[in-house]
Amino acid sequence: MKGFLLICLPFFLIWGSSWAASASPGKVEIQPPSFARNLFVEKANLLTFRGAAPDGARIVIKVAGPERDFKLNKSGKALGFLWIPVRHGVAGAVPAFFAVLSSEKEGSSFFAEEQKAAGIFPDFRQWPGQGKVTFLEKTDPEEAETLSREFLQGLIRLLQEKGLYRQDETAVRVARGQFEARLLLPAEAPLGEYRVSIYVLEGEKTSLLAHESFVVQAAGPAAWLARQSRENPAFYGIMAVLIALAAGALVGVIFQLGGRR
Amino acid sequence: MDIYLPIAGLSINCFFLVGLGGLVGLLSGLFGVGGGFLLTPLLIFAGIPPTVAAASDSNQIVAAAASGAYAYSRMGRVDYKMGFVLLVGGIAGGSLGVQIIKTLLASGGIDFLIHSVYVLMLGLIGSFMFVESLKAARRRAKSPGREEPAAESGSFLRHLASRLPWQVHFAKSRIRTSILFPLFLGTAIGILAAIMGVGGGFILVPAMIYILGMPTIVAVGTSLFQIALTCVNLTVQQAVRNQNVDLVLVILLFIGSTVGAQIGARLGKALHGEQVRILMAVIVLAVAAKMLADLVTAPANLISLVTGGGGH
Repeated sequence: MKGFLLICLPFFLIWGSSWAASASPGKVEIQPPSFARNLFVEKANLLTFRGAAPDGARIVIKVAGPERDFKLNKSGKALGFLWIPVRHGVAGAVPAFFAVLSSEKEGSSFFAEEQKAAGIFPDFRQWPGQGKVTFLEKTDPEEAETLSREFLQGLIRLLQEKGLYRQDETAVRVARGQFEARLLLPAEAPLGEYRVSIYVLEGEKTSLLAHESFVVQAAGPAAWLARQSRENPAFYGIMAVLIALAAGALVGVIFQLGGRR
Repeated sequence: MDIYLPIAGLSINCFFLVGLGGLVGLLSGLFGVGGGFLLTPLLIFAGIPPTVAAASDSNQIVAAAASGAYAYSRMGRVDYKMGFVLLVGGIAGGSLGVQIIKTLLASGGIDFLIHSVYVLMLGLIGSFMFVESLKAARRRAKSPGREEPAAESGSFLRHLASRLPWQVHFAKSRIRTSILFPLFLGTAIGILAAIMGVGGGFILVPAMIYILGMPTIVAVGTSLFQIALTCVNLTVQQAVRNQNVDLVLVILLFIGSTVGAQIGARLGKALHGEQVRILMAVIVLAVAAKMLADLVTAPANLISLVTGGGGH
């Protein structure tokens, strides 16, 4: 018996460690857990989500970036030929990044009410998050509602074009009780905390599997410059001038020396 | 290799930016202008927010103009008296221009203003240069080897300036004019410089030659002196009030533009003055046409972002 246990022990250890690495139900592993954005960047960073999935279930992952206020204009024709901004508004508390990842087209099986509750709108027809538009000009409530919808849909289109709003129906793979999803986070994705919600679809039932988060933060000289520009603008401005003057003087000296030769 | 611009809040290929700086430097070396009026629209076409493009360009001009002004100063070709009068106007105008940007940023009309001012100024200057250079080329063809006399197009304004109060003698420039005239000129250039992100040499130098009647070489040296100091003021003001000077962008552009300017200066020696000016006018008009097309073409998305930068 003792000999049998000794023989079996390595198998138990290997099985145990692989089970732990594959994450327990409700626990999702995000790799890497944070990004440091320095001066030199990749076009996009790869993020991987891994976790346990119940047998036969499908997985939908929602990634919502930090919320921002977006200043928006609506263009209209003036003087018969010129396209100028005619309405101005601010869309407040809008996720600056939004992605829905799934293993297949979930629209048909993901019910409207559950979508609404989960804040997942795979076709972006509705607004994710608590986005609200305030207008700089006086606008009556009825017009404001129509215009608000127009502004938000226009903004979503702009963010989709920049790759900041996206859906990927091939991003999640589910096999042998595990799921793995990949997300390419573009370099334009804003700094801040990203909230990740993972949903399990079993038959007609949708349930929340886990809530996680990851962080994109500036690092090194990029972070320092952004901070100085925001917190010490006078110092930043004087530093910019001094660097330019020093660069100008250096070039002057180099070409003066070059001219003498 | 992509580089993250921390104030513009986007990443862009760094060789592209150095190349863009190099291209504008080449043109500026070839045509003898600062190049800011070409660089800002090209940066906007490349996706840099207009206000960040304009503010960073002002900072980039400090380096080039200071270097040039120092060289002219050593040759005794800077009229400091005239330069300081222009500078007072330039600082007042620049501060006013930065405030205009701040106000329009809040109301959302800034991108349209920058585009419109560019179309107007580039259209006017490009057309004037094209017609003037074409005439000069024709005259040169008729009587080769003959130097062109200075234009007298500013004689009316020069006469007007001589009748205004506070007449001052500017010894280095060998002119006597009312101090109000360069003061007004400096203010107008300052406002344009803030909005367009330019030094203003492409307006200031012809104005000093044709309207004030200054010798060309002193006009160029004085213009560089005034531009360098006006852009110092603009850089600090933009950094303090609008937080839209992107130092990383400035450094990359500067690396390209200094090298490009040297190549351009060597290439320029192979061309006649009017040929260079015609080529320059065509480029200026092409940029104006592209910007005009943006204003008159129906946008694919009626909703647009107001891109003030400094978002991160």
